[in-house]
Amino acid sequence: MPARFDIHLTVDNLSLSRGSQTLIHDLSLKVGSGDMLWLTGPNGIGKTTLLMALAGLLRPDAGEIAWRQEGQPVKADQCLAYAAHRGVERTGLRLGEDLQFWQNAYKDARPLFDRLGDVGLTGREDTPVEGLSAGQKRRLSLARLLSSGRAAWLMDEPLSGLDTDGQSLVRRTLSQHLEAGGLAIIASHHPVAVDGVEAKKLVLEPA
Amino acid sequence: MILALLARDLKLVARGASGAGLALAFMALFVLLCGLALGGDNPELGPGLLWLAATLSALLGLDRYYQPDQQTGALAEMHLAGVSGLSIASAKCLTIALTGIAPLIIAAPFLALLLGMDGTAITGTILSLLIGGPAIIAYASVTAALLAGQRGGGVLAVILTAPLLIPVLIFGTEAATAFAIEGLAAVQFRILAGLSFIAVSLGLPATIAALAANRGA
Repeated sequence: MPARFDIHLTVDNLSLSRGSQTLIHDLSLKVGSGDMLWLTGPNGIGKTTLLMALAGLLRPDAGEIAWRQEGQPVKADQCLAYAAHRGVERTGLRLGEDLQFWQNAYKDARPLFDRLGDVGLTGREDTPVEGLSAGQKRRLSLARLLSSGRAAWLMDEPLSGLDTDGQSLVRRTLSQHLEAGGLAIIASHHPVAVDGVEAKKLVLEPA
Repeated sequence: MILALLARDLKLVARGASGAGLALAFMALFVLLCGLALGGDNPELGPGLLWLAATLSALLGLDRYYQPDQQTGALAEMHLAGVSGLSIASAKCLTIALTGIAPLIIAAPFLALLLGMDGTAITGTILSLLIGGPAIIAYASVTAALLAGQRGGGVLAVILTAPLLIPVLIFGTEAATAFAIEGLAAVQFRILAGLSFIAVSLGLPATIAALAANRGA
């Protein structure tokens, strides 16, 4: 299968803080197409903060975050999709309406029905998002990632609340994404084992 | 994209605990209490009271506009999905217009009858509310966007926005009164329209900037 994506991330001497607390100090790393980066470390160490900074949602104190797609520098909001841990919202929307909105935003041409089928939510489109279980919400946020068509996926605790079936769905989806030349950065307490891919592990430790 | 955002916003308003009904009830109560407190018929105070009631009601429940999407991260995700701040702000202003302001303007003539206003005064007040409405909406949008990153803070919203609305309130009331003499040609209507243009042209960029500032929160 030819690679669909060509994406690279370079982080140079990155420092991040939340309030007055320095969470990340002088971090440098390089990842590219087909790579999976696994961020781990104790609670409150800055995994989510790092993901948000990589997504361009937080301004770093120092250092550079550079995304390159097909050799060209690209802004974070054009090459990645971010599945936040809280990601799926407590709204009054129904599942189908919510996913359709994001499909529309990401200009995803795949029919809603098929997209729901991809993540095992067929027939659930009329369920209010608020009424979904934790695992179903994870599936919905996976569907949003798929809809995004973006090269880099940033995922915060993608396995939490999922049953074994759902966990293998995440692994399978990730494996296809990486095979297509995608990039995944995953913050998780548990390893996300994907067939044929050796995750690069980054353990965040107290300074 | 604006239409998709608008449809989403309207669905959320329709299904959420309705702040619009609350604003309407507040406006009715306010006019009723003013009628009682001032005693008897004071039709000449009508336009001013209606303007005051509509403005204060519009400032109620501003935290329902951007705050839920801010807290769930939907606004950040929209930004990452390439949805422009201008689309978000424009769709929200339309939502505020349709669900926040329109019901107040529709209710205004009925409340005007309570105050003993005559037909011309009522028409003048409604026209001035329609022309000044965009200004109220724009300021409401900015305030709501500023508040999105905070928790609660409804009273703070009123305090922040009230000074910006004073000129609109002054000329809105003046225009409503002047309508009886000069009709729509009254200079107050033109000033009011000008205030609305200023408010919209400043309010949209300010909303977009406030949303961007909230993004990392």
